[in-house]
Amino acid sequence: MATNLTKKSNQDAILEVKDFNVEFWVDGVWYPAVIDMNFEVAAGEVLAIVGESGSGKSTTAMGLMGLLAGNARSSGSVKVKGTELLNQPVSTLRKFRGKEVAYIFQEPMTALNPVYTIGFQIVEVLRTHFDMGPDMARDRAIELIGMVEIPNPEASFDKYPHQLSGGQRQRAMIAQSLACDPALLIADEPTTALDVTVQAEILDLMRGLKDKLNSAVLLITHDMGVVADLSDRILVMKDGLTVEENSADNIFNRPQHPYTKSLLASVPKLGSVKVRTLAAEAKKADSVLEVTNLVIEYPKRGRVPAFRAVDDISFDIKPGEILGLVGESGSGKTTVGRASIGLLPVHSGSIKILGNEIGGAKPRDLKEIRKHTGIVFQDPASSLNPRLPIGESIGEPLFLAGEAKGEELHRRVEDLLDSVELPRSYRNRYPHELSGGQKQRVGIARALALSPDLLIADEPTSALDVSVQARFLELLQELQDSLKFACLFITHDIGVVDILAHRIAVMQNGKLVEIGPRDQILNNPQELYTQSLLAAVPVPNPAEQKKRREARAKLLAKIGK
Amino acid sequence: MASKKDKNVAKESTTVGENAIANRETEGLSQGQIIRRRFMQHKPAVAGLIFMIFFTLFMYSASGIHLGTEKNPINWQGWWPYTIRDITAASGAGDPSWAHPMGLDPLHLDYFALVSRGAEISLMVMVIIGGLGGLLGTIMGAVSGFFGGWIDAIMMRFTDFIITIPAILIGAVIGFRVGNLGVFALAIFLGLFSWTGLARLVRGEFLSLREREFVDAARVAGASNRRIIFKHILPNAIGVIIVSVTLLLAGSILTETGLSYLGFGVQAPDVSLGTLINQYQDAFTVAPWLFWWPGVIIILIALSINFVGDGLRDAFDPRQRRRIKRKDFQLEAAKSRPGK
Repeated sequence: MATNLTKKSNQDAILEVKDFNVEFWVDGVWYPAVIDMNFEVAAGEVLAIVGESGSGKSTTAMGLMGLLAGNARSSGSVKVKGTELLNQPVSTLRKFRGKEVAYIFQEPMTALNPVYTIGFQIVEVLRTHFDMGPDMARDRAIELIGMVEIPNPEASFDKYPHQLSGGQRQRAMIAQSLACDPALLIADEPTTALDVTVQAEILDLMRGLKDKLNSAVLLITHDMGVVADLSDRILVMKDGLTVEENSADNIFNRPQHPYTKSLLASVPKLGSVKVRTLAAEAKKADSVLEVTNLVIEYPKRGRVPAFRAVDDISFDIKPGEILGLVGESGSGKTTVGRASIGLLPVHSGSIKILGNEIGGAKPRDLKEIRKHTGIVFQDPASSLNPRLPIGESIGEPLFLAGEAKGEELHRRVEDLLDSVELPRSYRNRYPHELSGGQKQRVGIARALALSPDLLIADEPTSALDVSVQARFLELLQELQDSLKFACLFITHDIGVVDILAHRIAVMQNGKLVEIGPRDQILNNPQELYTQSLLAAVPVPNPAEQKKRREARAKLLAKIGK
Repeated sequence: MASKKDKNVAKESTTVGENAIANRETEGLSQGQIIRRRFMQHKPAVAGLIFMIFFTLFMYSASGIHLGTEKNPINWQGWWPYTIRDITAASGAGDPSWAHPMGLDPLHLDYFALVSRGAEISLMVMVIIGGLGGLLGTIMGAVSGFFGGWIDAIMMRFTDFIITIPAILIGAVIGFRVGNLGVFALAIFLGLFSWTGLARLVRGEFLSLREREFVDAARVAGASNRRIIFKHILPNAIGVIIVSVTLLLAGSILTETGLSYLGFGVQAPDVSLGTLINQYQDAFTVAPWLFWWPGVIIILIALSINFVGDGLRDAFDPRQRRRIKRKDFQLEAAKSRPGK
């Protein structure tokens, strides 16, 4: 295999990286971020760099093209099509950026300029690099938009980024990066911000384009499922070091390094966990949360008509039960969660927590009900007040409920930090000094401060790495086992509910499609929509993923998409 | 964006060593305590604050306190032997000497008496205008931005209305109707008209901050609207407020001078730093000390206010902590660049 690889590289290696090092200057010391990296990517080949956040994979991607921050230095050799690029003047690099080497970024909303149409942004790239007239560039741009399968390319040319869905924005980004037929495409977490179903579509698109254009692709991701779907070879990184490099088949089926094994183990696999059963007496007990015929509308604003985000749904949660609420973005699942805690007005129907009606409750009653509920928000960076030390954030519900003050409050905050396994010393830290996983733990500690009967978890893991996510879910499970709270767990990732939930509810376009025990939904889904949602989850195994991909194509044909 | 991430990567590797230090400090601190601590670490700000305190005490004790109108004055005499009305017997051009450290003005009044009196008036005007304008602006902006809807509409139209009225004109009209009420009344009055810009800025900040999830989190925790506004959102908007108030303070000296020039506010023989400069700007070549003393004092006041403002802003913003010193970095980079 190894000889095979070197042979190939001599023929047509697009990117050759030798002894690549990146270091950062922080507080008077050089910290290595990437250490002695060596790899090659040939035309038509996909090399995936996999690792947790902080492992240096994004630093590698940016460093190749000299896009690092001012306090970084890099050494070694980076050759694209035989030309040395490392530490070359910007004028040399600029000729390569965009033309020979193109980037696809993680967040399509921030990477596209919101004040220009996508057509304009693609034309701009074309006319910067080629001697092209406006009409010709326009034709080429429309051709590119068609190539990435955005419907109705002519009309889409004049659309602004906010008028496109998340998946379409990512397609527009891809069209822009493909504008100059790059020899090397660097995709930095291209699907992390997307739903499973949209992710599956984008992966399909990228696979098709790679074969069509014969570009070399450097794929950077933390998601082993995505890697299994797309890559030929895989390089595993940890703390800036290359842990293992091998063909996709070898990595998934015969991982050598323990770290690779643990990374593979932390990916949630469908149906791998044994069923969590609920005690019989809990089933008979009164519901903690009871939602009946709930309708929520966002009122009309000016000429925009009222939007019905949640349409006539009913479900209930028993004490100690975890209900997983699954759906694509825009299906109204977050709306249900926020309404359940009284953050959104109810249009009609009822939400009862421990028998108390939430819709139309007076602020004082609401305050009383909220003492029995907690919520963990999706984005840990935004849900913690950046100017408040985390100890105070955690202690606030206790303080406001009048449960504890002064010394007693300090002690309770310490207990809470212990229970989410954060060092006590962290309580004087500000949120930005914590990693994403730690911040989300703070979020849980705050939600559990008043030992609530009901916890609403709104996509708490979507911003986390797989290995961090695995640990986080474990922690949540332990806490739930000891504290016995009921939980509404909202997520788009079926793999996650699979681990936690007793029952699963599936939402689509504001309606409840299917609800039932975990096993029934995962193994024997009745509705086509549930089936397609399940089929879109990538599995960290190339062979099986191929089978699933084909099965999904059949299913989609059946639905008629 | 990516570069920020990269920095964090490197930063995380430093935390191992830091933990040893961080773990020792386990005593829980409130937001206020942490901010006070961080302010105290900001050396220029502390120096500015100390200077302001001593300077104010020095000037006020030197000239005494003089309030009230011309008809019913309230006076406490200071320790400096001369007042702004004592014409001295000294002869000559009035250069600074031991008896008169800041010299004499053309009427042979002791210039230190004039300057200390001027500084006293100017400081008072500044504090009142800045305090009143800052307070009103923050509250108006906060309430307007936080509640939105019709409250916002009414308050912002009211703000528009205030903006359209020039303060100088109102000052003139009131001065004409009621007569000169003295500096104190003038300062309060100017403060009532100087909050508009700040209110707009604060409102803008609140409009975007109230949509953030931590506001919802606070609400779920049971926080009242008042607590959300002052405890959760306001500290996040403090940068804008401090910058704006600092500008307001510096501007208030000029406004006061302008109005005094028109005959309202500070009237001869009373003085402020602004009127002193205004009066003696032509004396620059003949008796430069007449211009320099009040000028330098205004600069010192403005500088120390800016330092204090800077320190406050940094203390409130937790991200201001570890900044790379550009010079150190480049020095080190040049020293240890491999292969060069």
